[in-house]
Amino acid sequence: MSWVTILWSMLVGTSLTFALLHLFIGAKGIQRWANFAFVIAAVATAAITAFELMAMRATSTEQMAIILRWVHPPILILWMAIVCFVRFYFKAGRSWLAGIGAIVRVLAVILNYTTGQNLFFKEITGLKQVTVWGGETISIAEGILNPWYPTGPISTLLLAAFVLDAAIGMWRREQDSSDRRRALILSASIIFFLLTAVVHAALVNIGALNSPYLVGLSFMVILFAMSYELSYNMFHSVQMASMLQASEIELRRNKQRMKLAANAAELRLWEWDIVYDQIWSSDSTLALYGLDESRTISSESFFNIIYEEDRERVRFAIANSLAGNGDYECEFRIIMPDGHLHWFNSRGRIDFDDLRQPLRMQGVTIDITSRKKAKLEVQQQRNELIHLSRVTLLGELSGSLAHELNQPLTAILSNAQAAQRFLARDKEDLAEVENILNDIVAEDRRAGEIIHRLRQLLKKGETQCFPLDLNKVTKDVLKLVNSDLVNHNVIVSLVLDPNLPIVIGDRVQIQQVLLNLIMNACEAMSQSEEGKRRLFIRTKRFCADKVQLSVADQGPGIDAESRERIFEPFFTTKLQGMGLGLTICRNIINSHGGRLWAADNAPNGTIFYFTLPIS
Amino acid sequence: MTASVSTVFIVDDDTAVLKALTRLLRSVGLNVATFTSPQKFLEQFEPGLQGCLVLDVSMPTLNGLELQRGLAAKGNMLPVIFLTGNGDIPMSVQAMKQGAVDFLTKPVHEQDLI
Repeated sequence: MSWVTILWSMLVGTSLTFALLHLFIGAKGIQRWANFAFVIAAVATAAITAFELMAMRATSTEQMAIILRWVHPPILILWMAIVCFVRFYFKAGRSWLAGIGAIVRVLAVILNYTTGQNLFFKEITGLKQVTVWGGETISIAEGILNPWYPTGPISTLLLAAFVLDAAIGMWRREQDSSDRRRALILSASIIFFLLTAVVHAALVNIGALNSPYLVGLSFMVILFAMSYELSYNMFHSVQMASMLQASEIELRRNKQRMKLAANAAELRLWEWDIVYDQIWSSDSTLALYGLDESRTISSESFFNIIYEEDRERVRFAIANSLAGNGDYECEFRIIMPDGHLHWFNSRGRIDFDDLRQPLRMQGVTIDITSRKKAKLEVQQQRNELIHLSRVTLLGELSGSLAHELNQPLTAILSNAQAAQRFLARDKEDLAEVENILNDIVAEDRRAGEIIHRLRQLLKKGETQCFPLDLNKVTKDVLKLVNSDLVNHNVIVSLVLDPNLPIVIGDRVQIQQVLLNLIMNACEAMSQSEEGKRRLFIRTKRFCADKVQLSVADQGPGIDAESRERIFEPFFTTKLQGMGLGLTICRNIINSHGGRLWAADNAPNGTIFYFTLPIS
Repeated sequence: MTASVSTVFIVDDDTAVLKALTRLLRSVGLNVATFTSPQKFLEQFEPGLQGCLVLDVSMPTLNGLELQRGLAAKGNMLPVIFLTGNGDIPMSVQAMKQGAVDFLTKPVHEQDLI
């Protein structure tokens, strides 16, 4: 078999093989229409190559004429397929250019069948037997050229212009270097093919070149370009696959690390599909709550396991996050299957779609029971300390308190004894006895109030905040310490704002603070000259939302450095005392949302201020 | 302040206590005069009065012990009985040293006072 036959058969086979390959690629959906267009181009080229071989083996002019006539339909198909391929692949190219070229090509085909023997020759006058490479002999047509012959090359040049235009359009549009490279390689190969095919065919037809038609061979350039692109894409795909695999491995590792960290921190991951109302949770959390972990649960099922008192709060928090920026945080309790009450802190974030509809909420939940217990213990210890401080304070006032109580008791006893004497007389003075009994009742009430005040102060309990009249609180405290003030020869100067707004606070704790400040003031002035022991207590509105009470003495004062340190635990300027009184006072005022501080009371003494928020 | 009748002079800033003690002492036929202000009593005091003094210890501006000293400086010869709701040993010792007849703690029983 001659090498021409072998080579041209191989060219046909190669074109068909590539057609099949790109048919599979297009069927997978990868640039489907561009690949299908290429398939058609490759099949058309295979047909053209087959016609080239038949022409080289033609034995008569009639045979050659038929071959050269019937080669034009596949040329038209190839032409159209290249236009489609370029359009689909490059997504560029002026349509009018392709349109004009198509019209000319169709005209060429029509002229092929209506003028002369074919588009190339008006009449084939003979067959040249040309010896080509390796001693092979082929037939080449010679004759009178068809005057309509240029329509073919013109349409091919228009096609080349269209391809060039599309390539330029893609180059300008794409910024990625690989896309530009693709535009360059493919457009160059197509244009090379077109120009080579048309120029070479023209030279053969006019007899300037004794060579077989090389359309099929020229098409190999395009095939090489396409195979290069294909292998590049495959290499890129393999690379991407490797990267994807590596990413998946890393993702798996990260998931494991996250799981490990979550388990170590006792974090429970959960996700709530808001659209389908299903809650998923990690690591048998649902089983921990006593739920069936083999399936997801609805939000309502979850609410039902929450401690009843906390359900409304959780619903409110969720509603807030749905209406707001999507952030969710809430604390709630759950009665566990073993009957114990556990505290949980849950945090999450909602994902919204483009229309701001909630899709899902993802979050973590952590068991904070031990933290809550610790906090509760701290709070209890704090309350114990405050109570202890109060009891200690009252212990220091025991003498004064005894005096205060003894006054009404003295009145009661003396009145009762007087009444006994009146009743023992022959002439009873019942009116006087009635007066005495009234006074006894009044004094009993007086004693009862003192005891009641004392009991309130001695009572241990949690902070209970109610509306308070700070002026009244001040007066009550002064009644309690009256004897002590008298014993210390301290004169109280009281300036109370009659329009002082009501505050919210724990009466007992505020009294404790005031008591502490007054006792400190008395002690500070204990060495001062008698007659210069004046205690100034004042209430006023401090600002828009706070009231202020001040206790000023005329003692020796406190230096600037110590004025802040006196609020530190165990710091004291006294000879006796643990140095906790003012620390506790500040703690109490801070917990009420106020502030306690000291200032210099020039020319001598110290002023203590505290503020409280208005109700 | 007159000196003709033997009178129990009571000085205490607590009016309820004054009233009750007055009733008690008058119920046994004693003449009583009461004062809530120790300063005023000191100002009005004249030596030569008959009777006795019942003084509260804890009073503002001038306590019972200071009043006793003031009265002594004015030549007081009346016996002084102290009443206190908050008595302690040093106070009682000081009172007795200053010449007090008795130092009673409140609430006071009639047997002790009368």
